[in-house]
Amino acid sequence: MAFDAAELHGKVDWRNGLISPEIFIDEKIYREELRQLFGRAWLFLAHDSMIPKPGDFFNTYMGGDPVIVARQKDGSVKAYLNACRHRGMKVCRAEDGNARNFMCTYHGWTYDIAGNLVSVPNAADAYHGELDRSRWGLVQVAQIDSYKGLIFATFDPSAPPLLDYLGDMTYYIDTWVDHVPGGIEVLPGCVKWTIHGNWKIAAEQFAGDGYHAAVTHSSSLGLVGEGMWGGMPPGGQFASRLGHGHSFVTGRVTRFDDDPLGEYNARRNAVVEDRLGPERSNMLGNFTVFPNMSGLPASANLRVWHPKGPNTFEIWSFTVVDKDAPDHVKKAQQLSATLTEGAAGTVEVDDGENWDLMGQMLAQGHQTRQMSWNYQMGLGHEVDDHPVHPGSFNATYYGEGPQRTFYRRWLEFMTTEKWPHVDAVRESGEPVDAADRADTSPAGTR
Amino acid sequence: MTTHIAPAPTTDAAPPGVPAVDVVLQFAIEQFLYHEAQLLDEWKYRDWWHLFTDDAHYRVPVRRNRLRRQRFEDEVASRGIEMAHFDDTKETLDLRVRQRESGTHWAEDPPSRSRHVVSNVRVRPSGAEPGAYDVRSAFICYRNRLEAEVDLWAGERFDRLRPTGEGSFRIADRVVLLDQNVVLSKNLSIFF
Repeated sequence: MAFDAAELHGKVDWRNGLISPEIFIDEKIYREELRQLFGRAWLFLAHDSMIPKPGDFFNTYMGGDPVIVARQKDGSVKAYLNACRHRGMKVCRAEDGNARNFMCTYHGWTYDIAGNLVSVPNAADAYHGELDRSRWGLVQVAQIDSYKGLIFATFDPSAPPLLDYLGDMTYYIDTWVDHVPGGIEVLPGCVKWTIHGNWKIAAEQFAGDGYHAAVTHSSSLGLVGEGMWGGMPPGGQFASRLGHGHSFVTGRVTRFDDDPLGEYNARRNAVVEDRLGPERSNMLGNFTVFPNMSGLPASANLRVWHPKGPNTFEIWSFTVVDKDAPDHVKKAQQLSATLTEGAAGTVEVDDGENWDLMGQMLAQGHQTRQMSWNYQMGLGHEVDDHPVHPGSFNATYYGEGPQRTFYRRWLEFMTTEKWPHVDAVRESGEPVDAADRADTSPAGTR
Repeated sequence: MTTHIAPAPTTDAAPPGVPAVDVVLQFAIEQFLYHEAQLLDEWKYRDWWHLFTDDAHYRVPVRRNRLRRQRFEDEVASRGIEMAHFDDTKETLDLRVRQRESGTHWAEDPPSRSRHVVSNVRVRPSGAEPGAYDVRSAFICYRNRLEAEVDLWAGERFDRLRPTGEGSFRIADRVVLLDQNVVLSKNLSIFF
């Protein structure tokens, strides 16, 4: 049965840019989010370069659930719940590494790297040889696929293929994973830290909130001589009907005047322009792949917002470099990324202040939850037929179109039982109310 | 662009009961560390910055949960091309101090109250740099911020201290091992 769709529709008025902050703090909504959204959407797990060899694994989360993503002997990748089928204990507590199998440390049930149950203590005597091990492997994700090295998975067997899920977003993803012939790799060392706030606040910011930078990041922008931006930098915003967003400025290739990578970047930019064309090679932006994967290519940063409750999330921050770049360039990029992003990053530390304090206020207050938050910037100024950029496009750097679209998509996931299709919307040109679709969808299709 | 990598934090202490240096030197180094802690707790970041040598490195690696039977030594990340919380030179530490001086660094404005408690100070002559000292110390750092925000960090520091010739020291290298894997606070807008 769908969650109280009418109630949620009352809280998320994306058409008019009005959103109730209850969706950031309500425990019931959060539990439903784990089921309806994180239980169905394609979620980013890892990059190929993080698990290059057979047996390499990386421990991550899909929503609230721990998931192991592991390279198989044949080079393929599997992902499965990090939870023993006997009592649900974690079968692996290391965050990454290489393994032939995982033994649950409760009773010793042991699984191979593919997640098959290969050994059960006392199988012959205690179980009388009657336990069918083939039926008790680790719970596999329903679908796993990758886009140019980015590995995603979904728990929903009826989810559309990954490429359909990403949609027009691949046009923008290519600017940060396929801008040079060798592609990217993720550096070792995932920086993880904790915000007492809601994950959506961070995801919406990366989807399109260039507006916050001038004020929130005044002190770090000031370090490089720019100070507070007076006007609005030239740029644009892309809002995908599928919930993804990308926001960028144009005319600059790096954030830093004294970028130690200047010479490398200058050479690279010629290659990038050749591959991506003049428009896409000139973007300096941030993005969110719906729902919780984001990044800041200008700072070589890729991250996931892992929910840990309605009012807590962890940031897992990765740094990406050009795979074929020389080591001194990779090292310089690592130092630059360390200085700016992460728990101690000069840019990042000021974001934590906002997200965490907003979370505290919503946790404690009543009146602060009754406010309607304003998402009206640029409302009605998007175009769907931009000659260059696909998607809903706003030709200014500031605007909240990507956020409105993010919450529109969120609402669809939360209020439909069937996979939230959007094809019908595109064909008719008229938005189809998610609740209406839910009424006409066969129940229990997942 | 320097690519200097901080030395591995493998400074061994002298055996129990056997001081590696005389008590006056031990005392002087402890007093130096207490003075440094006071500068941080009193928001005198520029004075703190002057305690570092021009070629100083300041590094806080990411702690990792690794299988003991397999690459346990990797629990502390290598000094290669690997992400850290801090990986600073004196130049980039200057950027961080300037950020605190800007008046618009909201994560520390209003400023946090902090209390750096330094203990377990073990000193021995540096094997890598004649005349310098390798100093291990433990710390607890309490932060109270705004109305009711509390963070608590613990860890160990591996310092290379260089005598100034005037009875004091400068920090030539510092590796800080935080005892947290996932940092449990909203940021690390603080120095250790």
